[in-house]
Amino acid sequence: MKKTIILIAALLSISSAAAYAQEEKKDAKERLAEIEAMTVKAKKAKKARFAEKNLFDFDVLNYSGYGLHSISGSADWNMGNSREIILNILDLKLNPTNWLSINAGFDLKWNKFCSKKNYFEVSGGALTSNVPSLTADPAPKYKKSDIRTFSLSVPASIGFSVGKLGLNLGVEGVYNANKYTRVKTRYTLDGSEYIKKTKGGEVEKYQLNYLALIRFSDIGLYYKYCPKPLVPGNDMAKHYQTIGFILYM
Amino acid sequence: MRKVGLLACLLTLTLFSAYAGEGFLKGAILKIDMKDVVAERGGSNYSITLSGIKSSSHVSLLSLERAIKKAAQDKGIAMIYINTDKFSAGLAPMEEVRSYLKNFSKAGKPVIAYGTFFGNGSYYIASVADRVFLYPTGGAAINGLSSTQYFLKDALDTLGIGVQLIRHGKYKSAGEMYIRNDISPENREQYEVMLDSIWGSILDEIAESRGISADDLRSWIENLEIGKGQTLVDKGLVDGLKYRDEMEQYLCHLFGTTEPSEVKTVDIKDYMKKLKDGPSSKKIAVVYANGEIGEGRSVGVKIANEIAKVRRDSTVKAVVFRVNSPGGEVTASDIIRREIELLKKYKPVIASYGSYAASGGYLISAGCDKIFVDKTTLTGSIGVFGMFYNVGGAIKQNLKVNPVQIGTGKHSTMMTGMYPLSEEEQAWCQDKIEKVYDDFVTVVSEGRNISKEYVDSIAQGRVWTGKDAIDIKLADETGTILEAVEYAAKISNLKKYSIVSYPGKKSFKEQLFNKDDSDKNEPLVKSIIKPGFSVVARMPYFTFESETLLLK
Repeated sequence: MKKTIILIAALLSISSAAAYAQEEKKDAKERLAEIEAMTVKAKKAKKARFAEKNLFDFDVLNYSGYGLHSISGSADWNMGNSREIILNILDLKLNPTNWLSINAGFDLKWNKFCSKKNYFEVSGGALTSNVPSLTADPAPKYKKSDIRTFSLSVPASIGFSVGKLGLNLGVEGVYNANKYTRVKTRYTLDGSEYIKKTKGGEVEKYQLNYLALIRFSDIGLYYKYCPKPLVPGNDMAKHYQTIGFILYM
Repeated sequence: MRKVGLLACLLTLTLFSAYAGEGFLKGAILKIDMKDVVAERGGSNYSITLSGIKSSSHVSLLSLERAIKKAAQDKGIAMIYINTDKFSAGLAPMEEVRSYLKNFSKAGKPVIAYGTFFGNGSYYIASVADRVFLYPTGGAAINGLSSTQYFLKDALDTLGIGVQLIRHGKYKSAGEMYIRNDISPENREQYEVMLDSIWGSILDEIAESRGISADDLRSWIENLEIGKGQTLVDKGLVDGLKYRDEMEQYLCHLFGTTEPSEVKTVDIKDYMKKLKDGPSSKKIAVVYANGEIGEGRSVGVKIANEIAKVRRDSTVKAVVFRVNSPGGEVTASDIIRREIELLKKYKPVIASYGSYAASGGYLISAGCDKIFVDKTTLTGSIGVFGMFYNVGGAIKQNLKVNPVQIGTGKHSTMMTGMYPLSEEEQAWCQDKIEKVYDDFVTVVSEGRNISKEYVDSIAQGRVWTGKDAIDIKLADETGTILEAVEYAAKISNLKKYSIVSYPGKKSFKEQLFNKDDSDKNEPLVKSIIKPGFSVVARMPYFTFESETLLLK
């Protein structure tokens, strides 16, 4: 049996070698004639997993966003009314590959940090959080009190994308322009409604937030975490998280 | 025993898979674009024009031949694709490139040619391909070769310029254009023979490549039956008509795909950069004598100095003397000849002729150890002539200027070019010419080891094709420049060597500001108004020498 196998293998080897050698000697014209008679199966066009991208992209007013803050601190914050509104001014992208990008931008942000139980005041330039007095007579009934800030933010992230799906991870540098910080408090007293607006107050000037964004086509969901307190030297808002959505324009 | 069986099975599987893999081509397409001028020397040439600095890129013939030869053995190269549009090259280079393409095809690898229009030269190249395709609305103008000569006697007489031609060799027709109004019978005879010989070679090669009769081909050309694309297909001169996208799809088909992006192409210029040389301690020098010979010309004393340099360089083991010259001044030619003679004492010198190696071009190389020619090379023209122009009558007639000459003796004003030579002076010049001719014949006789009487019988200024030159012992065999290099290596027992070219290439500045007429012919006007006497061993100027006109 073994001898038979070896013999067959040897015969096949010799005939293959002879056939291969014969193939090599074939005239170029004959070879061409053979190939021309062969059929080529058309391949399905491969769907591009990664869309072709320019190396460098530059956009103005590329997106806007809306997010809700969840704030942790000594004050009693209202998440439903604590929000940020984002407007992108400049968006830069470096695309070294079709699936990787390095992003940086420049946004304007309008933040509102709201409480329905505490009220905020500006005293000597400092922001304070106060609990309504139970003993005051007449006692104002506070409806809402919020700290409003205006910020310039520079988000920077690394992005990964597959088709229309994308994930960005990065940081956001924020500069809070205290010149525009104000407090707005709505309360009723003796049946009349009052709105008290106070300019001033100081929030943390520079913040560095952590950022994660999932994007599908022109919509994105983002999460940010700001580890720094909102108001320096005050634990009313020790840190906060933001969840929101982005619309790409 | 089990191990032997296993080995045998593995071997079988390997061979089967290799065999089973045969079918579509595998590898890359080596692309050759014939719009890049194939010249003796490669590189970029710069010149100042009215519209700025113009650069033209030239592909070196030697490098091209080496690249095609290498590609034939390179498993990474599956085929050659030639685009013949805007074709521009000389006869001899094309003959040589054609032979290498033929060998490439013989190695079992296809050559495909494509063009939008075929002229004499572009079809000559395309015909060697295994498949020739033409753009559907294209056609061909394969009409044969021609030569146009201009005779200026009447024009010069009108201007009052006198020309006296003193020559040896009834076929030495170079100066006839100045003293005649028509072609001499001898001149007509030699050019008819030359043209017929060259065209005959071209037609034979085309017919052989296309598998048709040379007589049929000649008949079609004579009767203007070759013109439109479909006619070319019907007559078997072209394999098909294809648009460019169809051509692209055809090439894809050869590689078993429909996607052009899956077919790899390599440009010949990029492929040439990969040519590797051997050790620099063993060199073969290729010395180029390219252009007219004379002081201030492209082939002057500088070439002689380069040859002396090569002689003194101990790393140079053999020399290929590549001649592409119609000749020129006798003294300059002899200076170069002498250097070759000295060089031969130290190392083998092999001559390789390009499009021309005639007159002075033949003189400088006749003494080489072996002479390779192309079939279409024009050589011989062993003869000498002297031209004497006198312009005294012209300036008097046209400019009303009356020259008066005073000299110390009867012949002191002889070379001033004002008045014709007297009979005595003509005889003196004739004697000088005869001496130069005798020296020329002696050089050829000694170099080729044939009798002076025999040389005289085939000389007389007659121009011969390379093919005929072998028959009459003016050359040894047909061969390309690369074959000459390989022969030089063989007789020097060199297996690995590097190739070095002389003279070195000109710098950008030198190209812009130095005169170099290596590829240009002397303007007609310049040659007329050069008073004085010069002894020249040179082929005549006429439109035939413009090879692009010949083969376009």
